[in-house]
Amino acid sequence: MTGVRFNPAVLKPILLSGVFLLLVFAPFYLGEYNLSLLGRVLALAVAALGICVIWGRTGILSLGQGVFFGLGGYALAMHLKLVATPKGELPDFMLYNGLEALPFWWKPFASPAFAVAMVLVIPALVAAFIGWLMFRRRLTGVYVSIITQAVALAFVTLLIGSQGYTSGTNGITDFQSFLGVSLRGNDYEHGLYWVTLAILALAFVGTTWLLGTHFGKLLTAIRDGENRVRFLGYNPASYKVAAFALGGLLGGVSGALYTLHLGTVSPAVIGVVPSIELVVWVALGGRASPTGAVAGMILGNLAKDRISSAVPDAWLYIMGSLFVLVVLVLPEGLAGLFKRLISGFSPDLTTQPDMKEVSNDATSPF
Amino acid sequence: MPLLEVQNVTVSFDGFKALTDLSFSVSKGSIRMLIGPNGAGKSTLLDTVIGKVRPASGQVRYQGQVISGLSEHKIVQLGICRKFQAPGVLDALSVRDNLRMAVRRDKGWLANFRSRLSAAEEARVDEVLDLTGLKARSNFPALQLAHGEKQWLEIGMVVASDPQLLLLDEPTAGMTAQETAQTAALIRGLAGRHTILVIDHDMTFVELLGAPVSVLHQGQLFREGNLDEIRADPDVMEIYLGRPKDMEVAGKEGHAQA
Repeated sequence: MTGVRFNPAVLKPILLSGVFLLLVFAPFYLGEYNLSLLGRVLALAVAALGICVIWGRTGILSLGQGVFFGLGGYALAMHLKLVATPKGELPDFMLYNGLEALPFWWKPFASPAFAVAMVLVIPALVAAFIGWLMFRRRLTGVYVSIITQAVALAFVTLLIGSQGYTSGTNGITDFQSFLGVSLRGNDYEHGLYWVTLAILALAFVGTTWLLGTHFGKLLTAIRDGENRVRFLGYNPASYKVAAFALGGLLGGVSGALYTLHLGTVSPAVIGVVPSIELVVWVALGGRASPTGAVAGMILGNLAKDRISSAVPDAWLYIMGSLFVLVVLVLPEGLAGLFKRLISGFSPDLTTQPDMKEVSNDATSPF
Repeated sequence: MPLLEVQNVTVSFDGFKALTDLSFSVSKGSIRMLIGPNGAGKSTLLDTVIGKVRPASGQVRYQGQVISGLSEHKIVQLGICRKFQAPGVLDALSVRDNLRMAVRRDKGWLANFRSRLSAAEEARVDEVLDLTGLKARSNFPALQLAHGEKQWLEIGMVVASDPQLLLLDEPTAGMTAQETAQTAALIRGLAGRHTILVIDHDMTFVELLGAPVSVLHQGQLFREGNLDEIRADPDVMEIYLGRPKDMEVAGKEGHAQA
């Protein structure tokens, strides 16, 4: 192998910058419908980064990310609802349900700063608490998946059951403005799209940085050998709780953005099925790679929009088959496929060493 | 005062006693071999020291402090590190990163949002890479190492964490004769700076280490002495090979069942 002219390490940043530029200018070439679809999908991609951290890197398969997504969404929706309600009156759904005064825990959400802080704090704290309960007891694998799924189910049941406080199945709707900006019109749509893209980019850069730190490598180490890590003097539970809280935080941010895009939040977007769908798209893209997770979420949801409107009845079957196909053929998802294609151009020595050379050198180590 | 004292420890698994009232100690700076037939309780003893298994009675003291009952990572932070029987390297990480995991002093999650470790820690990683001969492999994922290299990497990790007391469970399992000799040289070089307790079955390796030997049998300390004494001991021969009479009885029972 002489004269490697093509360096695959350069290709990825070039492609990423290209895609980012395309996304930045999307409002100028996409129609209204497609732009709003893309914006919604970019909001979901923030949650995908969280799933990449907790599942792809730390090995925790959570089937309840919808809970954190929902907590973020509702935290912002409560504020938006209070803004849309005339002073001194109760939100409409509370009146319908016979409430006479605003519940005390609704009151602080009148402040936008408080609501935005809660979008970050509540999902992270709830995730940390659930994580602490599970990881302190050293629960792993399928038990964690079952518990998180049960939490998602319980959360939705609670939302629907407390109709007077949460508006139940209908969800919270009829928002008008946020921070004095009207939530209608072209300017708002474009602005929200760019804000979403900026937050996604920030989350992407942050996650990528984090995974490269010693903390991030420890997460991978815990995934591959929790006991080895424990017997090097680390407490894996504290790392897993931190990772799970981060996944919750990203889920919450994603949920809040999604609420702005949709103009409503309801149990329908946060239950067991949406939670599993998030995981399916991350698996499709490649769960261990932030790029893969984001790409999977974007492509999967765009495909969902097109295919489910063309053949509504077939969509669930198509999604199921895609998932099975990925699990069987592409365990590392599209990101793994991409990596293999690139290394086909130019064998990368750091990932594909010559095995013969390894065994020759192994004889004289000291 | 011995560095490690195991005092009257009994460990039982659902009524089966893996260790029975075992007392055992290791003094500072020494190498000690631990041998014994399968099921003698060797690995259980190491599990008890490192906190993986809790004794039903008795206690383990390290530097005079009672450590039985502490959680594993706390025991490790006191300066005890263990190599397990199957190589437990971190597959997806590079050889260098494996060692950096071990060498890092600060184990808390908040302290580790940083890409580079301290200069002293990075220097120690390089030292251990030299010591284990893995320098040429430092950027390879651990997954791609040969079996013997994985064993060395894990020994390297245990050494890099700079423990006072090193527990090595069959460090030469699956190694060639040459690799075994190299491993013995490596471990001998560690004595003095570390106190080392080694389990192994390979008598050549035991000979190469030339350390005092403790024999475990049925969860109890059976004999202690240097290798020649242990080798000459007819009772030790017997627990390894079985008494001729016992074998006869076993043979007859076998026939009766057939």
